[in-house]
Amino acid sequence: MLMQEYHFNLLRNIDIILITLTALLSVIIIIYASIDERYMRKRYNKLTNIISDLQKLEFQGNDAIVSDCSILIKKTTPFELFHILKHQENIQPGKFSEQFTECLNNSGKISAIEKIAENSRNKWRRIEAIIILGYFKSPNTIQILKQTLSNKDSDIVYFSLISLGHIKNLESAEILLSAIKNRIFSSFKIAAILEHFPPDIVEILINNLTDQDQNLRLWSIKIISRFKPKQYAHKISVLTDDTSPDIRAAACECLGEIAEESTKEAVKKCLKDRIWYVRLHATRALENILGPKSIADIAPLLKDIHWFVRENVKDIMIKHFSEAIIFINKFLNENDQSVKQSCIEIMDISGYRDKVLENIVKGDSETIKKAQLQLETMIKAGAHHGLEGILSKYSDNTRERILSIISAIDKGKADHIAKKLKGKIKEI
Amino acid sequence: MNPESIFHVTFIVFFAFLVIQTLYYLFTIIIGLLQSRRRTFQSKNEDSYFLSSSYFTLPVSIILPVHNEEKWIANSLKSIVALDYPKFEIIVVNDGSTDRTSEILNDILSLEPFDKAYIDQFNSGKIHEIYKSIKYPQVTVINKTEGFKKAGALNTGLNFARYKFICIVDSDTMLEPDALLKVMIQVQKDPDKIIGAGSYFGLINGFKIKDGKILEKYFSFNPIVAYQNLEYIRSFMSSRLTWSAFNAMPCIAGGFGIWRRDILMYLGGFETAFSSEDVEITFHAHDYMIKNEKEYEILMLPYYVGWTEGPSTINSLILQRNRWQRVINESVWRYKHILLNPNYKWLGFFTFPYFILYEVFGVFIEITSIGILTWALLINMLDIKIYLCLLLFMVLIQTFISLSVLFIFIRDQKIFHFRYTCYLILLSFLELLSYKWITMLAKLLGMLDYFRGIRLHDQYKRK
Repeated sequence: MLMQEYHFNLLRNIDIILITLTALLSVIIIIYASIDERYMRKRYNKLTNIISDLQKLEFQGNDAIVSDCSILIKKTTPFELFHILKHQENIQPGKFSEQFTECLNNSGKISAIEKIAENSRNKWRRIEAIIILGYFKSPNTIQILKQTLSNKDSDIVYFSLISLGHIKNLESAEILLSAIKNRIFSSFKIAAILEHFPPDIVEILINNLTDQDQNLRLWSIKIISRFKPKQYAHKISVLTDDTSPDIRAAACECLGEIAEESTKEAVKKCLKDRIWYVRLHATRALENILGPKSIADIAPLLKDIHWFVRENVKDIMIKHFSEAIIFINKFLNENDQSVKQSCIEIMDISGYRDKVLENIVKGDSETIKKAQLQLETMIKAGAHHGLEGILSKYSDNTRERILSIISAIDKGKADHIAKKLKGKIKEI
Repeated sequence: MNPESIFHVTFIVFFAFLVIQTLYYLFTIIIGLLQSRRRTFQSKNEDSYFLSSSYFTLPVSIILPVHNEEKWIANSLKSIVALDYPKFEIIVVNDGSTDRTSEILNDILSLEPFDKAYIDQFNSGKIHEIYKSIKYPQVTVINKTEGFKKAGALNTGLNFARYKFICIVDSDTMLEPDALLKVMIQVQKDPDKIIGAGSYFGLINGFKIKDGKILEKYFSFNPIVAYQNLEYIRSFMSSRLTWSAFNAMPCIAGGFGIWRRDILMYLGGFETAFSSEDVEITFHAHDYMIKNEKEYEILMLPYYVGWTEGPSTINSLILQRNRWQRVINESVWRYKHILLNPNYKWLGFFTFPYFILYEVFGVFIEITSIGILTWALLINMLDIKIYLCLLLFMVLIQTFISLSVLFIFIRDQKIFHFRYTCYLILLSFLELLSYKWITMLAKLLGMLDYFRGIRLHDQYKRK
């Protein structure tokens, strides 16, 4: 009984503590929820007012903008400034962005923000300050961001990279490229940032193509491809012989973007590369460079062992169907079932089969004869799948007429199509 | 053993169970709080311009398996085609639907049949037709025979997917326009290491929807739905964020999940023998990466990316939870070698024991303990005051955990209205006396069905 009394006292005390805690937590949540809604609304209104005041400045003279804007900016907290800068498009940057920068300078806010970016213990306030510096581009910004890039915290590093991305000058580009080299962050992300820089950075990127670091070479060439510098096409074509397949593929991609005909041989060589994705990029690049003339070199890769390469070749052949039809007819007479299936798909998507059937229905005697021969090649190659879809568009009489032609070529297939056709018409 | 010893042992086991559970949850609440805060700030400060307008943004193949979803498919599909993301394709796999699903798909997409060569690399079932959308060129629809459950439909989609990352979306889920962008921003920070990612999605019941757009987010006051909202928050904001922080995430939910295609290929696609595929594929991915000594990460994020319809009646809730219980049992049994295995680190010592103790055996421990304590009360072995104190203790612990997580949620994800927050506070005090018993019954039935060998992916009827 004593034991039970002890248990009771223990449990009762725990329950009392828990009742107090849960009640307290409930009250905190209720107060927080009610205050937060109002606070958010108030903060939103204040920000809207500041932005609207800044918008009004647009109609004043340049000097007035600088002085009035400085007064406005002085009244804002770093947090509010962060939001204003983050949504600069609301304050017509094209019209008075220079004056806006000058007024920020005059406001004296920037030195305070620089201090927060360098030393603040509050990580997220520090990050907000780092972002503001990127928008603001003060003379000390680059130095501060260089320092924050070496921080141990991955969030601080990440937002320093983003901030450098807003500066968009050669110095910040060099820092971002060294971040790729030193594997400070995902190269994908850094490349996405550098892609938005002005084309002047191509000079630096081209110099990196001979760097020992493979990752830097790879990403430099990938970024170069976004600027399409024709004058460097030959320097880039050298990389189609690189030891790294990733770089060979990227070089092909870049040459495809530049589309300089003099580099076609370097790209053609990559069509025979042992790595599938190099072949894939080479087909795309060659198509970009030569257009329909590329089909003769690309079409044989419809037999490639890799599905992705075949899919890509298929897309190119669909795009240049009239040049590809010679190869399609040739492949249809061969024994490779998978290649035949791809040919059928090309004919289907490019509307060739519709056209053949239409010629049979509406053409003159010469066209009909030619179309019947084409239909025969298709049927014999097994390209009858999906014909029911096209046939279902015709009237009963026309359908019967075409089916009788197919039946003369291959009765079994004609019956099969007729059978599917019945189901299809019911279904759709 | 005399009745008194049975009672004492039960009392100690039950109390220990409660204490360990409480400590476990307190730990996950603290980590969840820090994680949620970090991710929220990351999202607030993010500059999505660099990703949404970049050539280097990784394209995504979205797979949408559909089976008799005439009520939801239109809204779901419209929300997906309207996603704000630079490059993605959508593969709709119509898994033997017998209702108006095919017709609705045709109405929205203007479908045209076409022949496509493909290689069936996984267990996915026979394909009847392949269609291309005239209206949305990035959409392909595949009609296949039913029979390999949702996993089979996903495998079919996988056969056709072209991009490096695959996003799986349930056909009753409506996505937020920036859903893919929010998650892929995190994935793109390290796409070589991150192999899977998921994010929070809530219940759509009560929302005002028109033409695939959510007009108003009215959260349902139906207690069954509201309790599920509370449960989702508890799960996503504490346990899942903590598991993710230690790379021990056991489940990327099937409603919205991103996977790297090459990993899914190595795994041989989704397992069709299980009642559901999401827990299994996540454990399988961990298992594969650890056995092959590869560096990897599976992420869980707190951003709300989509909304799905939850059961709104007791019967439909039981049906859904029954399946969840079977999936957990099936996965735990297949991957039992993970338990306390040092190679699996936090997964083996933190997540897996939790699954076994609380998700598999928890329901038995709770019911047996309450049963024996009630029996002890009836034969006057236990004082009624202690009995009531013990019940109150259980109620308060559960409430405290729910309230703590609710606080994290309302602080970082500002989507609940004031009235709804108050309603959830009230419900959290009553959960153990009402909703908890329904889920316990569902778990018991799930256990029973598991031992009876039932592996169906049954759907509950939509309202």
